[in-house]
Amino acid sequence: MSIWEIIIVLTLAIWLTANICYSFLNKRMAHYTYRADIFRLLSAFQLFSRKVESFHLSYRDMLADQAVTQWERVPLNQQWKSYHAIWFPARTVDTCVISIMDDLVHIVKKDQSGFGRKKIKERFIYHALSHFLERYPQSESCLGRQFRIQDKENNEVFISDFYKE
Amino acid sequence: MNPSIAQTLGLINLFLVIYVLIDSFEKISIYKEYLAGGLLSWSLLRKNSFFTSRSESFRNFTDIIFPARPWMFLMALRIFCCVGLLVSPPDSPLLGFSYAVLFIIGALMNLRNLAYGAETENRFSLIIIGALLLRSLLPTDVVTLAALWFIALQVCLSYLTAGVSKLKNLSWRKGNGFQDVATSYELVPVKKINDFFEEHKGLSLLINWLVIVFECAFPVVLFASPVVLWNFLVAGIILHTAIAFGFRLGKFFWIWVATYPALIFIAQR
Repeated sequence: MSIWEIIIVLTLAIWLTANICYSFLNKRMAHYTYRADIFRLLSAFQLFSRKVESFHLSYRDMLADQAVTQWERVPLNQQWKSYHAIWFPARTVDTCVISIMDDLVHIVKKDQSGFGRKKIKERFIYHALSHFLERYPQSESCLGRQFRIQDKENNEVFISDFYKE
Repeated sequence: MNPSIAQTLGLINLFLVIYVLIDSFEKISIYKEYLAGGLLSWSLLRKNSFFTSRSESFRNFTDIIFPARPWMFLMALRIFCCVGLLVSPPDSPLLGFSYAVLFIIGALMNLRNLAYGAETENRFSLIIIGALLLRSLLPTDVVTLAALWFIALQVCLSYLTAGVSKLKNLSWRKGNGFQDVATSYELVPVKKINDFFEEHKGLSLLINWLVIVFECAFPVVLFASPVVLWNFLVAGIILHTAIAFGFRLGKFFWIWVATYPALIFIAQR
């Protein structure tokens, strides 16, 4: 074997070994790899292993006279079409919103003390969700928008303050 | 049937190209999401603490390549590279160049999307592209074999990880994991399918354990007889087809099945 062959084989062996470690020591290693593995070359493919939890996102507006509108549910699941098996670009955005809601709920559940509430407002995902909801129409006189996340049984998991982007 | 190295690499390449083409065209088709106001716009994503806490030179670099226009150019470049992979003769320098570009863009896609989590299919594609890139740099028998072993072992690891994770999950262990997934309208938005698996609990239980056994036992394909190998591969294709139609995760199919030629080659040596 030439020196270059050894280098390439070693590179592949190291990558595979690192991935094996990451796959089975995922929680312990994720703390270190989050900042180091910025290109996400290490992965633990846990396909559909996580507990299935579905959440609903809705929003309402506060009008100029301080009245609030009805909650409007955000549709995140487009009607199933057979060609979606091959071509489904809308999934990208839906997946991002679902991922944000999962993360937000995870943080809320982790911090039941209430002190973290202020911190949640400072988080990127909170800002991203507010930003996403800006695409839904609101009247010019609207003073602010509020969103909430509910679980499958319609229990409120999180409700934001009224905000204006 | 023992496939040659050229046939094996050709098939991996073909499935990989299909995946990258679908993915690139999908991203171009939702370009509005990359413009200001979109959920994938750089003006939004750059506010993530991961980027704001980085050095100024790093942020300057990302500010150049991640806004919508350069990003769409990179998506178009991916398509160009796919054409290069399809038309260039084996061991041509264009092959190595195309893999290098695809690898870099794929890695940047993971970086750009950090806030929402890197896409699973893209993460897996980098494993295949990385192996083929290294192989294209030095296409000797030793490196080719190492690259194919790498791809084969990685796909076995992916299934094994998924199987073990399911065994760690109480719901799957109790036999309810598959039913939870199949009856969830958010994951499978077809009421008939939801109702069907709600009513047929016995079938759901059977599929639940079949999936776990398939995933946990998958690595045996490397050492088992051809009959066992082909049974697993057919089961894998059925599983990924069901995922593509049921969960609308079609890209999983192309990128996972892209590894099967490597498995066939390694297992039948």
